[in-house]
Amino acid sequence: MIKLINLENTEDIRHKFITKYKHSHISASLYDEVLSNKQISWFKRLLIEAETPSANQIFNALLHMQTSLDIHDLVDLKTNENMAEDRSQTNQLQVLVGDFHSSYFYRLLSQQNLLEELYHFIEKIKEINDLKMSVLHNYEGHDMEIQLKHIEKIHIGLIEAIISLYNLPEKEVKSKIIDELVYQSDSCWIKILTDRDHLLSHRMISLRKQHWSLTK
Amino acid sequence: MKLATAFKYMNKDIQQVEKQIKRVTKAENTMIQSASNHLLTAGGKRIRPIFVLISSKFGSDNQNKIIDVAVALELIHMASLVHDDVIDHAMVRRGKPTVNKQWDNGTAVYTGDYIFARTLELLKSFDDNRIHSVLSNTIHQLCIGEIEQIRDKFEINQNYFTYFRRIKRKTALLIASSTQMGAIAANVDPSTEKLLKLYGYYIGMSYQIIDDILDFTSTEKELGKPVGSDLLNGHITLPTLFAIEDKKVYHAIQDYFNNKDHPSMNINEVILHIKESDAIERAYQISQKFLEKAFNTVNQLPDIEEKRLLTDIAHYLGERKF
Repeated sequence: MIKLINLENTEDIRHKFITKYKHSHISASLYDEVLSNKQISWFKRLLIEAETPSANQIFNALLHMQTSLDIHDLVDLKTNENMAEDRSQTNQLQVLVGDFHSSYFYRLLSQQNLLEELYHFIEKIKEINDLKMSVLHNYEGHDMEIQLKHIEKIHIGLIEAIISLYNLPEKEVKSKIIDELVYQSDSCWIKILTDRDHLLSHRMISLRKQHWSLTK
Repeated sequence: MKLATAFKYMNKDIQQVEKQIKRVTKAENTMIQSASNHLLTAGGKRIRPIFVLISSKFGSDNQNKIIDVAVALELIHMASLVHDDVIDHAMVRRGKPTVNKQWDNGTAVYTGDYIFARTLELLKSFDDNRIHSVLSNTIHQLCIGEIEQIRDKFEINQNYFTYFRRIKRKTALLIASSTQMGAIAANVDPSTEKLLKLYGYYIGMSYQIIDDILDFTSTEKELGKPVGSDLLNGHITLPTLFAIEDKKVYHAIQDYFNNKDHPSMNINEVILHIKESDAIERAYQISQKFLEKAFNTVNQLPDIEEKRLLTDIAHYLGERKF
């Protein structure tokens, strides 16, 4: 178990987490673009604030689920029947490793009998995947604002779930979380929007940033 | 005996399972709904729900909860198939285009993730943590099995232990979980629960070995993929493990694995050789040994009508041709 309290350095936590849990066949480089220090930092900060006796278990479970969600976002979204072999192998491993970490999430919470927490987070995970599909298939068409709101929820879904589970005050922190985890991150979801309509998405991103800076 | 007989016997329960699967996969998001429907209409034997339902008959009735467990097991199976198709680059499953072919990889991955989350949500009514403990451990083992299958691809130096461990993780544990979870949900006594779990495990092992044999002995039409696909894709299964005891076969396969991208490389002769060798019969004998263990386990179960059904299903699965 990676301890929440004793480790100050998020990079240290990230490194220990990957070393401890990755399958021996999987290269650590597969994790390069997943589970950012900022995500870890927010999980840690909020769970310490929550003062729950199960903080360590929840922390570990959430690191697994965030890893799973992030790594599945790295899979080539389009199907390419003639994909180069090395890319195809990476794709395979990204799907498998994502599933591997979501199984850890489930196993850790159920082994510790943290079923209430499991169901609470599962609700959010369902919503995150639902929103990913909406953005992927462009349900809202040109309504960039709605799509950006979806993307914000995709990125901060698990953090929001901690806030609601422990009734933490969200107002002061939400704009900071969104700024750090969505607009300062290298979001593949934002990239989907900018690829679709560069000008419109940039204009809307500025407006959303402005909105969040005003709510600080 | 056909599996349809079991269906007929449990028709009402199975219909409820089908209805519940449809209800559970009904998402607000129309694309998730379409992809889930696509998976559902592709059919499937519904072996796992049948095992849940039959096992539950050894305990007290708790119908709604048992249907939920049956549905959960089928959904986990569905979620793993939709991800497997992305992993294997598969374009056709059961004669229909896969979700990744019909839409794209992203749709397949997120539909699988959504179904996984929805499955756990379905089990919310269970206070008994054993249901989650069994299922979470099985899913975890399944994932390890999949990763190790990729690791061992195109690796000829494998042994029987690796193979049996892989099929246990890949197939047998999910069937053992079906029989065990059906028992837990119906408050079956611990010794019967243990026997039902063992039965599921033996059936699962036998089932996968038969699957691996059929990959050589069936036809392309029945399989929906080329004969010998496992070997072509670098997977060493039990018939191949027996066949490579012959050094000539070993070297031929090794040569293919080392030069598989070379246009002149052709493994079809080796596939034909394995098909006609005693490796198939030897693998079949092993599958029969697991079946015998399943029959012995059934014999120890309390005498109720469903006991016979478990024996009949074991016969059917052991003798299936595709």
